[in-house]
Amino acid sequence: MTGPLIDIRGLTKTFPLPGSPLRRLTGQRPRSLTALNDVSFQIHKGEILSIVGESGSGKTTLGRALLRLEEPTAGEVLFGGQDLLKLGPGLMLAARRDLQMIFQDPWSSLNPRLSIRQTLAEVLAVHGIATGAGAQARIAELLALVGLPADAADRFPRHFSGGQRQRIGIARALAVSPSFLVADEPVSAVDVSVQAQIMNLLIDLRDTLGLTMLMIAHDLSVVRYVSDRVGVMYLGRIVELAPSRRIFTAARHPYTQALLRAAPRPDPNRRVESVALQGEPPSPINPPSGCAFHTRCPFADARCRAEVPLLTEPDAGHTVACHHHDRITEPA
Amino acid sequence: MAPLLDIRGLTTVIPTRRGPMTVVEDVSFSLEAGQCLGLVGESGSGKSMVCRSLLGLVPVPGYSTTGQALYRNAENSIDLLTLSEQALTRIRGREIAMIVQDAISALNPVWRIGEQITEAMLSNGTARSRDAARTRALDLMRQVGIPDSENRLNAYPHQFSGGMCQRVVIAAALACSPKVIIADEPTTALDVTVQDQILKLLIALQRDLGLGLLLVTHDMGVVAQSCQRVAVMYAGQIVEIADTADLFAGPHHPYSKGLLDCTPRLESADDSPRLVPIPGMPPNLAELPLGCRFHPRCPLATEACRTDPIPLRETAPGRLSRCLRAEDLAAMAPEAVFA
Repeated sequence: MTGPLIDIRGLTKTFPLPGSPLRRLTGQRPRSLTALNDVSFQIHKGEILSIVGESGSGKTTLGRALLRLEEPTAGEVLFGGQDLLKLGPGLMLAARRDLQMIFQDPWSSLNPRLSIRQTLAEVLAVHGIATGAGAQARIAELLALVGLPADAADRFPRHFSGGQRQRIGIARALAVSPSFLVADEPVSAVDVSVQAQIMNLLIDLRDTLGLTMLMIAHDLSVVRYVSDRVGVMYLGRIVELAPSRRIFTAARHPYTQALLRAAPRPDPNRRVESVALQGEPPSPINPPSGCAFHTRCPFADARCRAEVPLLTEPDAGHTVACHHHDRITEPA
Repeated sequence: MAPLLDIRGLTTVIPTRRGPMTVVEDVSFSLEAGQCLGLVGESGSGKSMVCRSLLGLVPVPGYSTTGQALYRNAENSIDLLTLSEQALTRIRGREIAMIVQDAISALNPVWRIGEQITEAMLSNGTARSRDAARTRALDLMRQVGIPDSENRLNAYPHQFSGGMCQRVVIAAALACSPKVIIADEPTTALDVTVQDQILKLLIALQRDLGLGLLLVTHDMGVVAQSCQRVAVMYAGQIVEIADTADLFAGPHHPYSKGLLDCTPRLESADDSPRLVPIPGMPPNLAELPLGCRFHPRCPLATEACRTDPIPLRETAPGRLSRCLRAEDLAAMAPEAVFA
């Protein structure tokens, strides 16, 4: 291991909320929503790290903040020893040749009026990589790389299915030969039978191109097939991060355990009658005190209500933020 | 016991710019009281169109349905497909209710929660008075797990989370004590832990009230956890019907087999598993392949699969498959099919 490719330190993103006239008149401070709260972790070269969480957990904001598609409020994102957050527009554009994103919705992330050739040529031109014959050769190469026929180049997004569009989105991200990809729920809008094709394509690309990936997902079962490590987020914080195998066999955070129990198992002989976790994720506008999970946690006590648990490392490479992690080794 | 719903040869055709398109073809199944039947398939397989055809709710002007959809209650047997809009209105809600995927847009944003639950009861006369309807609404809200129901009755949908809105939609569906609930992807739009709560709530209600539940889903995990029987749809047709345990133990159609193979699992013997995809993609309904609609993606396809339409046939007691090679599939090693 040659150190981390990306080192995220204390990444925080707050969104201001529109203030009501009444709040302004009474002199109250405008409210804000903390989508990412002091998130720190490293991504190693060549790994696929998945971040899993429910809506409002901040997982999408994390991916976007990393690439500065959302400007973070605080923190550092070190890439090759450089803090991405301090780069000016020119240098940031140059950095984006290394850092690319695959978007969740293959229907809205492609310009419907551009052919696939135009979509890909645009990327190559913006980054000054190739024009003319060189660009055409690269486009053919990219389509082959993602498993699309060469004649796809002159068709438009409307001619493709969701799975094929996602392949086009991947080709567009790969056009600049990046070393790092953020994949934001790449299969959640794709049919099940095609979902496996896209996941396997991402693994193959990692292997052949030596890519590093941050994969955002809402479902643990899918990431199991692609991830080297898995992080679980809840209300803006990472609550557990461990090698994939450990998350699925030795999860220590009660929330991770609940996520594992909540996924419907495709096995009619193992029906689960009890509900995995009561309640719903609280609003990030008004998060609970202490450990944000305490309102739903079967282990919560007075300390959990008062004190935010810090990430600790009970086993090498396995971090968890729970006051009771040492007595929670078996699923509740 | 005679089934509550008996669908025979249901075919739905919608007009498109390129001419009529058959979105549901020759679909037959039955649903008994106290039974949960899963209707599973991918987008475009026609599973939602089946539900909407039954209640005359196909969202395309000029559509037509043929076949029979017999609904039996204590008194008589009615073919839903022949009913006038007026007669259907008496069936919807009171006999057969529907729960849709997107609860937030299923609720009227400017109506209070209480009004949404009592609307059907008051308009079709199930409740005799406003007070009776209100009492029933409070009861239902408790039943579906909405806390603080007295106060929440006066809230608006935007004050509710997605999961709570889905509970309201379920309460509204139960309001007129229907015998059948059609639930079209009721948990798809929800977070994982909330999806689990809603699914278990629905199954508990179905069992306690002895309802027939037609559960539409794309998720084999949901089927395994809730349905006694399952019908698999592909490109507008049912390709397999079986008891859930039998289908999971050994599917009789390669598409069902493919769906099971590509469903992610939380545990397996393998340490670094790989998902097994079905090659290709679902066909466009306007350009259906000849013969078996699945043959371009099927590893078992032979010449015979490419020419004539394949009938749904009995492959074992209580099991139907639309595959010429169902017996060969059953005899193959599970991992050899989509290798």
